[in-house]
Amino acid sequence: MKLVLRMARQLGVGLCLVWCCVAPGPVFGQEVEASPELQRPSFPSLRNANYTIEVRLDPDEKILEGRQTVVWRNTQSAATDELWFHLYWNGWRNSRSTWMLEDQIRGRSSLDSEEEAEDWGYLEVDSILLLSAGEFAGADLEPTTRFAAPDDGNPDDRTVMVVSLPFSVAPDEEVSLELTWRAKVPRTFARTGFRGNYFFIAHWFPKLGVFEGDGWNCHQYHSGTEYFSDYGVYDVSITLPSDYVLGATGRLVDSLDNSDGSVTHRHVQEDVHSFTWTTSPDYLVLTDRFEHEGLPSVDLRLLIQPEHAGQAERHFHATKAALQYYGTWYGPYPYGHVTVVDPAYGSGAGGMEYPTLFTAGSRLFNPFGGGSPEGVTIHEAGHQFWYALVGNNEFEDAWLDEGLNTFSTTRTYDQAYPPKKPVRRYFTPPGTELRGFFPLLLEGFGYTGGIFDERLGGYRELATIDRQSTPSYLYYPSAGGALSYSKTALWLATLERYLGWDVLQPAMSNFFHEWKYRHPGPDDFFDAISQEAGRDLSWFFEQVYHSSEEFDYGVLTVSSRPAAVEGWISEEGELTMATVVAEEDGEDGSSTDDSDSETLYRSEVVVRRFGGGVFPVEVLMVFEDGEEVRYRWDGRDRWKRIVVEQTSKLAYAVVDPDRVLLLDVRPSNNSLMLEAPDRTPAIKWSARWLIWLQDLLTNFAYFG
Amino acid sequence: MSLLNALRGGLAMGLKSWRIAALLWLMGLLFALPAAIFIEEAVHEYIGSSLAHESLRGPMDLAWYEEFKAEAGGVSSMVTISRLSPAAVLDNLELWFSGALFKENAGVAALGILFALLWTLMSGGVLAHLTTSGDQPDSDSFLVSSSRYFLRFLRLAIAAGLAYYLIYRFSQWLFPEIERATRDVTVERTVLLYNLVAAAFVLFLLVVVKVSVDYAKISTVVEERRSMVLAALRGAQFVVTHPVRALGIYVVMGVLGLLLAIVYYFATPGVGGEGSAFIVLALVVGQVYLLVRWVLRISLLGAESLLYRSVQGYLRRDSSRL
Repeated sequence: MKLVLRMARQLGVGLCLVWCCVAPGPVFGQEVEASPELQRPSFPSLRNANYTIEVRLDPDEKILEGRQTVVWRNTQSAATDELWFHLYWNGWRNSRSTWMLEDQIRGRSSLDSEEEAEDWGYLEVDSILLLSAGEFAGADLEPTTRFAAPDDGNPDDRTVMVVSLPFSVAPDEEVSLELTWRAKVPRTFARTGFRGNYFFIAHWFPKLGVFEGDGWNCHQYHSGTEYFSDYGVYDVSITLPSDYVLGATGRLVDSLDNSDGSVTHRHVQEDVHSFTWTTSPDYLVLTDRFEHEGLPSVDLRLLIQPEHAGQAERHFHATKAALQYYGTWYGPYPYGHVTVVDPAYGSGAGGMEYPTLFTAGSRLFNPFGGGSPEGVTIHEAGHQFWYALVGNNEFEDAWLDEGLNTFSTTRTYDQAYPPKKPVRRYFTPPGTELRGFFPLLLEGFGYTGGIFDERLGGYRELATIDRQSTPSYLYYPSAGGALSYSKTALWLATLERYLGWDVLQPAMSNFFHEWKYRHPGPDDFFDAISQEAGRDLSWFFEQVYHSSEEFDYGVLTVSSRPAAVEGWISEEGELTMATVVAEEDGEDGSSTDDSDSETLYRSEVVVRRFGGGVFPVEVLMVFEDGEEVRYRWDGRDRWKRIVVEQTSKLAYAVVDPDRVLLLDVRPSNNSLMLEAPDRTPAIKWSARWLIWLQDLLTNFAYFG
Repeated sequence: MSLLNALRGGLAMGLKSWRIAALLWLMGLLFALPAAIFIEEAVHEYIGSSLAHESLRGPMDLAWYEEFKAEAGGVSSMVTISRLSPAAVLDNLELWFSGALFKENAGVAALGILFALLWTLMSGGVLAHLTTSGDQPDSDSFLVSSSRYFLRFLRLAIAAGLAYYLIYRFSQWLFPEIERATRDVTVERTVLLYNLVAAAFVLFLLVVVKVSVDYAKISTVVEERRSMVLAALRGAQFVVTHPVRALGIYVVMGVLGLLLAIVYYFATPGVGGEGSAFIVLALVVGQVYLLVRWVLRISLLGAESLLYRSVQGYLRRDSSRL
């Protein structure tokens, strides 16, 4: 068997060399200079965590058997005598893992319900051998391993494994290990697992954490967070039954028929920080190509469920939209290929990103215009930029990919598609977790105030639950969506309106180019913005990132009366009790007869800062004659009175009329009209609701 | 009497009984109006004097709606965008099907039960009218009949409620079992099919109970029964012995009801329309839809009573007396 594999490897290498000569894309160990016409970039990642993996899937037993060689290079200035590995699948080992306990708090898993035995998963390391380490070569390191729980001290959590080395790995030195392991594929928990003959395999092998000099950054697996690892080269051979279709990170370089009827597929990808694959005999495989002037072309491979075949073009269109707009705004997508996966029904594997591969997710009935699957496809394709290329620490700074990507997704969707309509799904089987089968687009509803308003609802609910600067894995479970996704998108959109897209876009592009294939932190992003803006924005980031204050400006009162002074008035040196109504004089400023004078109105607007957040805002006063007055308020004080004298009465006042501050949690209090309006809108909507209630009551009589 | 003749006769009786339908419609309106006024007040208060007043004249701004929902409590929490749209009819079916009706808001559920009680009271008068010559009802006899049969129909309603509750519990077991049994099915179409079949079965059970109750009531009125146990058995027996016609009437009326809902969905003005004319038109179209629903309900009872009386020989006796 070993001989066969060695020969296969040699054959694969040979094929690889042939591939190098003919393939348009980059291959193992080779940096590709951009050809002038295509402007294809090179790949300068550190490649300090390289994996060569052989794995076999037994689809009946749901078992993976793997062997991997890990070559790790110490890129820090301190030495280490340990290697820390993630064993993510142990998060679903039993009910005592940190992941399961946190998921229960989120309300997604119930430890009271009886999981079937086959639902659980695990990742068991059987052996760890030291390779190429002089006198220590061949040493068995498995006995040195221990489990760590650096985040919560949970003694039952097995998602972090520490391997002690018999020597220190000095800066710039390498160490190689060979690990053998077994993994039980769980029924899909966090988008990983099986359903029937469908398998989605992510974060499935012992994976190194990130050594940061002062220690290993290797968090336990949490219910609400994602991943973090170094860039390297992945050379993965996957053995499957011959009728199973494979989709994986990287390009297919080799497929070998085995004597037992299985097939071994070899995929290789450089400069990525993870490797994911999926397989099923049911996938329909379709291909397309993205081409756009000024951007490198990308081969698209779509693995779609046969019952969604009619939606294939929608998946391609959305992926291309992401590649086009993200590529134009931030920088080109360099890998040359991407795999789009439409996961199986009920697999829970939809809406997730992996290097050069992502899952979208659709339904049997999915009318165009509701945002699905276009929205999720754009979002996950967009993660190729924010996550795959710019490799932030998703455990600690989830917002750096999710928030930037949510902002970018919203902009892209707005460019590529008409405004979304809300969708209501019907026929939800009672007592189940299923969502309704039959969708209906609801006409006459929309976010009329702007494309980012759709993020406000989710943010508002949890606006003050935590500071964004709290490491993401420490957020209260279920708060991540509001803080990482929505809040970031909203403050980025606020910055866009405050600074202008012509400032924000190059800032984000500079950040992208500076930090691709690297691990940026929050300050790196803030610096990029401030640098391009040419001003200190710490006051802004301090509030949106380092505090949990919410923003809420509103107009408290408006009034508009004939300008008059009432009381003691000094006239010709004498005090007189009087009321003097001011009038505006004729054109030459002289006091003329009454027909040339107009009553002067004193209009007063009181605006309030209801929330703790401070942001400079404008106050717009609109008068009955159409005149407008804008007042700039620094927004610092808790309230401000603005007085204007005009010859017309005030009609209404608006604080932040241009909706610059999209973080304002209550835009409905931003305006106030002088005259109380009629009840038409309230009557309109309550009359509609009345019909619903009458219909409901009638149904009671139908069963009586 | 054939199914077709019973249906024709029932529809004719329903149309002739438009005053009763109007009364029932009016009762429904009076029941629903206080809650709607509460909603109007809540919406008006939340809009206040803000410029949302202008933006809400046309299409509903979802950002405003989400803000309102976040603050809303009580009955206001039952305002959803689908209920403000022509899809409200589907929402109600979904509420019943998913079992969420009694969980969502106790107040509205209680209102529904009260209205069901009112219908129980009035159905006696309706049936008494339908089982006589079918001329325009005399209000005195209508009220006398309503009160005459109320307690009997109340007992029947309690028994029916118990049967519905058992069916509800059964469905709460059935659908999760299907979900569990299909946990390895990767094709949505297949899962949908299983659930549709299950839903059809549950619907069948509901219809059988419902139709049996109708015939139990008819039997009570026509045969002046005192025992509701015997009336219920009589009703069930009638359905079992004449299943095609007994259930066929309901199915056809159900289809007519569905067609009515579809016509309403497309005929009612879109929610994005502005101006008082749109508001009035939407309200009028909605009320016409509801009134026609009552006509169909009475027509259903009329057809059922015709069938029952025909099969039992009461129609010939009535004719000979006339």
